[in-house]
Amino acid sequence: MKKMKKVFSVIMVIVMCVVLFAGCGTQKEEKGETGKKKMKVVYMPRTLEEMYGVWLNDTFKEIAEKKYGDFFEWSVIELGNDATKVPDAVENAIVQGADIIIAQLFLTDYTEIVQTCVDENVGFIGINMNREEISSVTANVAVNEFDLGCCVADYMAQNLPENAKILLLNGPSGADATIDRRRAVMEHCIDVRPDITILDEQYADFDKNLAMNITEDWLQTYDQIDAIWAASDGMTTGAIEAYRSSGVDTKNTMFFGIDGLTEACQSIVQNEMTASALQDAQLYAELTLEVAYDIYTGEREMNEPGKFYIEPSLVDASNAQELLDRYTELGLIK
Amino acid sequence: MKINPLQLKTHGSYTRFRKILAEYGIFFITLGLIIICSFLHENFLSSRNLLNIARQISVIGLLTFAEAVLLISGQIDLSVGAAMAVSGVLAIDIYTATNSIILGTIGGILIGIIISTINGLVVSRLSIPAFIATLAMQMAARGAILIYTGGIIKSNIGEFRTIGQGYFGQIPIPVIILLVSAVLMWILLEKTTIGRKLFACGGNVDAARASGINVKNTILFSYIVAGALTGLAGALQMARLNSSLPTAGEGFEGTAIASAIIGGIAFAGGEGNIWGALIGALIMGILSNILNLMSVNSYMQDILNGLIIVAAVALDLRSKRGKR
Repeated sequence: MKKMKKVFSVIMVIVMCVVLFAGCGTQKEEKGETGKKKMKVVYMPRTLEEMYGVWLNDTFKEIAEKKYGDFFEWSVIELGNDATKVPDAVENAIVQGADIIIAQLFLTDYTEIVQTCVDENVGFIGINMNREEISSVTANVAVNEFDLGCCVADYMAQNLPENAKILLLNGPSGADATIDRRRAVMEHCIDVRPDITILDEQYADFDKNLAMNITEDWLQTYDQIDAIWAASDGMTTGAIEAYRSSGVDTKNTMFFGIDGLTEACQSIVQNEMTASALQDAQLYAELTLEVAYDIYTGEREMNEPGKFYIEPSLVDASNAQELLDRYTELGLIK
Repeated sequence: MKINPLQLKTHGSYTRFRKILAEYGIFFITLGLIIICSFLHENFLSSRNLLNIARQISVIGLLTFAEAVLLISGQIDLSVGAAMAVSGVLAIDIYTATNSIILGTIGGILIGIIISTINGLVVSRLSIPAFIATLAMQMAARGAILIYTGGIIKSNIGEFRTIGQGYFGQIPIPVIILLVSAVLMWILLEKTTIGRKLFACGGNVDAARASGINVKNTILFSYIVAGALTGLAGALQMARLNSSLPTAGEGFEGTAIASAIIGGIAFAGGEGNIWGALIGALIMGILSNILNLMSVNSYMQDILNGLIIVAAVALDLRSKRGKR
């Protein structure tokens, strides 16, 4: 038994030494057609567990491989929808030899993490980080949440009937998306149309089930509801399901949301939802990779601060089917 | 010492009153809540709103029954929300493949049973605490369904939504499903030998073992029953939302456990009944409904819900102490 233990210990030591030396070995550098070393780009999606995350990830990968395949070596570290994983993920990427990190982060201040990248001479490009402190230390590609909200708010101001009575379903309290999207409705719809009355508003936390329950209760209270606006399409479709389950006709109410994804497009095509606003993943990927390419060519400094906005677009009956066809092509509708 | 017969009579009535209060305390609390709510909002007592509340608690009610059966047998399940999502999503897929609502629903129930049976086997055969085993299952099930769906939501599930949104006469189908399940659970717990075994295992597992009960199989059985209810809840939830939503049911286990405890199911096991569990779910539904009707801020609702839950359980415990 003692002999066995000794043999086992010796084998373990040999294995550990081999692993250690293997780790210290020189890594073969990949070079592109231009002869210049490929830049290692690590993409960190917030989550690959929801449609937008999947769409964004697929689009990034496709463009990175097709358009920038000779310049970028692409890899992905998923953040598992957990803000606490960000520091570890960034450190791991640096250890792996990342030249640039492209991260779709959460609503937290990551200035220190970004500063770590700056100190290590690793590029950092944020996606949709609507925080001034980030844009002041590195590049940030974002949609302006207020503009996104305005897309729908302007449409509402033009199309809501006179003396309309409306209800609002907000996202989580305190989130930039909640604050700015709601502010857009106030400034671009309510302020310009003083005849409109807000009957009530609640935080439904981007949760379809919660939005459905709240709307079911609203239907017991208000006889006339001309429109329901929600800060996300999931909540809007939840409101529509509340009408169905309560046996109330959806035709007398207009439904507005934000995101413009499959659920919304299908609902618009079926004449239930009225309009939504889209932040196109294609635009995000194109613009972000352009910034990364500029760093590769030297046109742009490694962590030169800058804000790059993508344009949101309105989704309504005129283009919903077109978007649906695109989602089907991308494999986002099964 | 002389005993005053009048005093004895009064004391007897008082004891009887305490006993009734102890037995039906939670029902009186619910009645009181309904009376208060009827003064707070004119539409609260309308038949339409009462059906609305019943419809809203149908899914959480089924999950409450699942937790109730487990708590009674001395177990707990933290994976019901995730298992509900898995069962619901797969129920929709089975429905899509077969075009049969019945097959879809049965499929959902079977998936729920499979997941919960794994929990039961891990707990009863490997002696891993239920808290740990079901927490692990929660993570695994949530991950599995997100990998399976790729996070993609399917909308407009067709006729399957009937079981979540349809009506039989004036009564919503989910309410009928909830009530039928309650009757079946009542028969199981109160009128069968296995039901008594569940109480015995939850009350005192050593005594149950000593009296010849196969504790391992009884625990496994409780998980199987809970799994069937969870699977049914999954099918119902997706039908209600008219979507195959892989993220559905997040946090539902907490609400279900709270509802069961409010309904008088002992957290330590061996005590409670299914009607109490139903009342527990109803109290949660009534609170949410009245606060929405009164336009109370949703975060304020959370605070009030927390306070009212503690008050309801404290009152119930107090009345039970009186019983002893």
